[in-house]
Amino acid sequence: MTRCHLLLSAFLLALTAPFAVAQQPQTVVAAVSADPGHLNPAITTGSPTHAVADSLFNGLLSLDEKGDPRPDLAVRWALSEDGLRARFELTRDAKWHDGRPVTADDVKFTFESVLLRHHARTRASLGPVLEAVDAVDPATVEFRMKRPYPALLQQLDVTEAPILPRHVYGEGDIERNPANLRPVGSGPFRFESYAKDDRVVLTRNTAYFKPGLPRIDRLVFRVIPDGATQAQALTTGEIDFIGRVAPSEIARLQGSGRATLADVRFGPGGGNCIMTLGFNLERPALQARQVREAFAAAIDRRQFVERILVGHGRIADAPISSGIAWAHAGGTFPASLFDPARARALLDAAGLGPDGEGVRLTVDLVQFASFGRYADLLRNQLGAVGIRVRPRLVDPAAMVDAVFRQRNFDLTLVSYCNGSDPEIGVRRMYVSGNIGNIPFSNAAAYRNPEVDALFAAAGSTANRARRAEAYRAMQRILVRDLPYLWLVETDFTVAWKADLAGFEGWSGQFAERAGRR
Amino acid sequence: MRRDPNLIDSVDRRLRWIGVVLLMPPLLLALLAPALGKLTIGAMLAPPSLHHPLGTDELGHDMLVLLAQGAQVSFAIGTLATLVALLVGTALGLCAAFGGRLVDDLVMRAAEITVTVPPLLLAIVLVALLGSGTLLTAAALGIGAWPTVARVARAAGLALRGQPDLLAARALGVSRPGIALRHVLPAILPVVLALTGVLFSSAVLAEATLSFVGLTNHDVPGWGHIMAHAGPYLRDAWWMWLFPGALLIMATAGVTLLADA
Amino acid sequence: MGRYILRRLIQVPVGLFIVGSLAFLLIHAAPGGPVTALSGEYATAELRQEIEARYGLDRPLGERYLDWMGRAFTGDLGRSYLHKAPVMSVILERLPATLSLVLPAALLSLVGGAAIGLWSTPPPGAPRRVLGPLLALVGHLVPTFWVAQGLVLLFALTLGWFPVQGLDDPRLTAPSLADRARHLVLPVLALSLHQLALMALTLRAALRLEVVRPYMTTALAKGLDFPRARFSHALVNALQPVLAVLGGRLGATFVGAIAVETVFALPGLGRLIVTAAVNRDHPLVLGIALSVCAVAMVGNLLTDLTMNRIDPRMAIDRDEAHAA
Repeated sequence: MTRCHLLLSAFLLALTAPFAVAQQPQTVVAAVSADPGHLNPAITTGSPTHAVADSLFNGLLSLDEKGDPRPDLAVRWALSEDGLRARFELTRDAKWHDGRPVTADDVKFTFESVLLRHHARTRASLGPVLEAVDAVDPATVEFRMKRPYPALLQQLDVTEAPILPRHVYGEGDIERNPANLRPVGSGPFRFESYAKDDRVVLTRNTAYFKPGLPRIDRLVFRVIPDGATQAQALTTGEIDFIGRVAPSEIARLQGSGRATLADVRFGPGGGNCIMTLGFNLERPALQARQVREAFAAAIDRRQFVERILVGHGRIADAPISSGIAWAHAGGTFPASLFDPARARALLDAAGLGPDGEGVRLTVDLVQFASFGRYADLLRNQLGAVGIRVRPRLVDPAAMVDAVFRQRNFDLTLVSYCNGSDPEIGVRRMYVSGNIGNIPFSNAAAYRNPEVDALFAAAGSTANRARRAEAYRAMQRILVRDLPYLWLVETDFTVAWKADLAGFEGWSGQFAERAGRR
Repeated sequence: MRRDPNLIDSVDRRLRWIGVVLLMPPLLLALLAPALGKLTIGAMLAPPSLHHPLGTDELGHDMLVLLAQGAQVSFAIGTLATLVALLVGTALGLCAAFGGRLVDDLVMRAAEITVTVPPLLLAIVLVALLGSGTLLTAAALGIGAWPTVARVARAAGLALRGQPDLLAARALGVSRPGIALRHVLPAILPVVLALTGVLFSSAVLAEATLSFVGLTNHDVPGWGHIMAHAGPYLRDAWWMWLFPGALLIMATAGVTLLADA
Repeated sequence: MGRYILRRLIQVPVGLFIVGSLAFLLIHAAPGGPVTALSGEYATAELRQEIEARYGLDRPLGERYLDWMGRAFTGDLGRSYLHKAPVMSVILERLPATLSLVLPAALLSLVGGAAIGLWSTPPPGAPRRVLGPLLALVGHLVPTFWVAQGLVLLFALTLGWFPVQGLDDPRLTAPSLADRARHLVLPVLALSLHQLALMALTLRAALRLEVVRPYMTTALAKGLDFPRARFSHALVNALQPVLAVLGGRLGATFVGAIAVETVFALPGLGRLIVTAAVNRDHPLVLGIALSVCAVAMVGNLLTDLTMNRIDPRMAIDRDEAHAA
């Protein structure tokens, strides 16, 4: 090459250099705890799928930090006076990732053909209530209901009701649709690749209908099952975001100075969770109310908050979570109930005196192995008043089988997530019609017609004041009857790299507004 | 189960004493576990001290008590699995040696097939089907090991076939099972028992791995489970990782070295 | 000899058939099943029934068995409940990750084991070297996951030389060999330990027999020094049992990979089978177990046949024994 050529090449290279630098895509790497399996959030409630796939779609609405609805695909909405009709006006700018426009017909298709058949939570709550979904015109949708459903607006976000395109998912058996592995949505990110059990790579949707969003170019999900490994990877910089930080890692992440942490009360797919100890009321030994009161008096819930939650959570002082402030009957189940002496007295009065080894009662406790630490503390605390606890730590499938199908247990420990409205996650625990082979239903087999009636009343009106009255009345009954013991409210903590900002940990689309600080 | 037991002969026999020394701590822990009292809650994540010789874990449990209870679990599983393997293996091995050609064929074919399934894999499959359980796990691990025992028992039995006292007993009308019990069994016992070390250590290690990946269901956590929990605290609480691992190695090495006696 | 080979060849499909049937029976006799994992937390009784119908879980056992067996013979191992894809394709997708772990580990264990084995074999008559075998013994007994955790603690967290997890850096837009290598160092080290120890012990035992053979004495008499004689003459003959052990250990290596993949969050078959077991994803558990067994059987077969060519005596022990 002549010197002239060399100079020319160098000059051109210098010109392109700034472009080369600018073209480094801004990537955020998020850790997820399990492989999604597939990427269709409308046919499953599994959190692994939702953690990833929610970023590819939109709901009619989304929820803000406090759980109040704000626009997503729907820009305006109105409910009729009688609460039986809800009308949503859709944005005209939303397009599917393949360029076709999002229409009301897609909404109709999604609800009637997909959600009400395959999405367990929406099916259980909206199914009995929804009469039909009508596409009034391409940009207007109307929901017609059989009776007023107060939690409607809480269940239209991308996690509860993601909207799918009919032209992609409408043909054939949706479970076998190849688009489940190469999804087409309307969301801030579009699908690029999925390596099973390894990573999912999403890229920015440049035609996203919300201007200026998203701010990052690539969103990569890395499957790392172990919480400790996730935290370690965040401190070494290998990843940027963790959706649920294990309590044991919080202190370390805070101390490292490399991460920003935020406590979130509710998240996609359920929130306002209360770790609950359930009694099997069909067991004779547990049928006397005094005995259950003794359990309540023997348990020091502060120790749970201190040792297991490491301060990130609080004692559950009422059957309904404090995250649903308007329905929460604060102080009805206070920490002051802890009184070991009283526990022993109650057991004595119930005829359960200590035997030669000091044991008054032996019970088994069936629960998830992952909640093992709760079992440890329970065994200790109850053991101190003479109640011997035998934990049976099993995997989720076995637990559901033992507790809900066979009803072969004395005590069980369940994390019951209330959701953002008591209709979603509270009612199922107490109504007598919900006892049976249904996971996470009424484990205690509690039957109280008064409570049934109160739930029916609260669910049939949209008037929040009247509903609050009903819920408070029922909570007073529940803390008297003690079918369950409400231990602690578990928050969860979200963490991200200190030089990033804009993550919304409570939303399925957590990275929609994220970017460099 | 996983390796030829004769290899250990190549290790200096004097090292057997080391086996005794190694085995003592875990064994003592297992035996003394009841005497150490119940698990109480103390200070969280305390390093080893006079009050807590092995430190405490993230809930405040004293590691010494925790590991002692874990020792019970590990020894129980190891022993149970070993017994299952010895019983099933010896019985089938003797059948093969004395039961005629057809029986021998069947047993050896079954052995070859079983050998291809790693015991841990069998245990995982069983968990998928029947849920996790201590007895089930031990049985699965033991059953996976029967071919090794059977081969040794069979070889020893075959070697005995031509022996004069056996022929004499037959001639006198002693039944076949009688011969097996009174003559053959005592003779082959030493050979078969030499496998104990291998069987035991493999079972204990397999159980630890199962605990680690979360597929066991013990009332009391085993060593593997404790080590799995140590993951988050590797840097701050090294004692949660070091002591269980050390105990595991001591127990398995001790039994292995001793069993060759 | 030919009859022996034929017999061994037939054993593989027969063995697979038996293992597969047993596993099927066990799995489908199990309570619970995948319905919980599929229906999730808020399911209704109706939904559960629907799921059972959709996956054919309410059909009689015999029918499901025949159906599965028939398909298995054509290589169709069914569909995974959770991944909603054919089992075979799920397995094949994960296979590369496991292989990139297992193959380098096998190589490392061979080389390392050979080195230690050689070093532990002194000339005949010289005092025994016990350090090597002792270390190997300990190395063989140490739980793989413990070693993996220890390596993470030292080299990743404290020294920061290697990453704590994964196969490669997700930020890279194009795969890089150097990056992949860096991520694999610690996992491969952890996985190779057991096999390495075993190789060392096996080789040492075999070498001790070889070094007293006449040809060794001849070589030494001709002026060759012991280490070189050991390496170039004895080693070749002693390698045969070592390779045999290697071939027969495929199943055990897979099991070790489970622990390593868990600690380092690697997307391989080991982690896959654990998750499948927990979620009662029967077809997937069955498919992986069968695949591992198939590979192990083939490995055993190849090893036996190879050893057989070298030493035909091994084939006929059974016939001899019964002639006695």
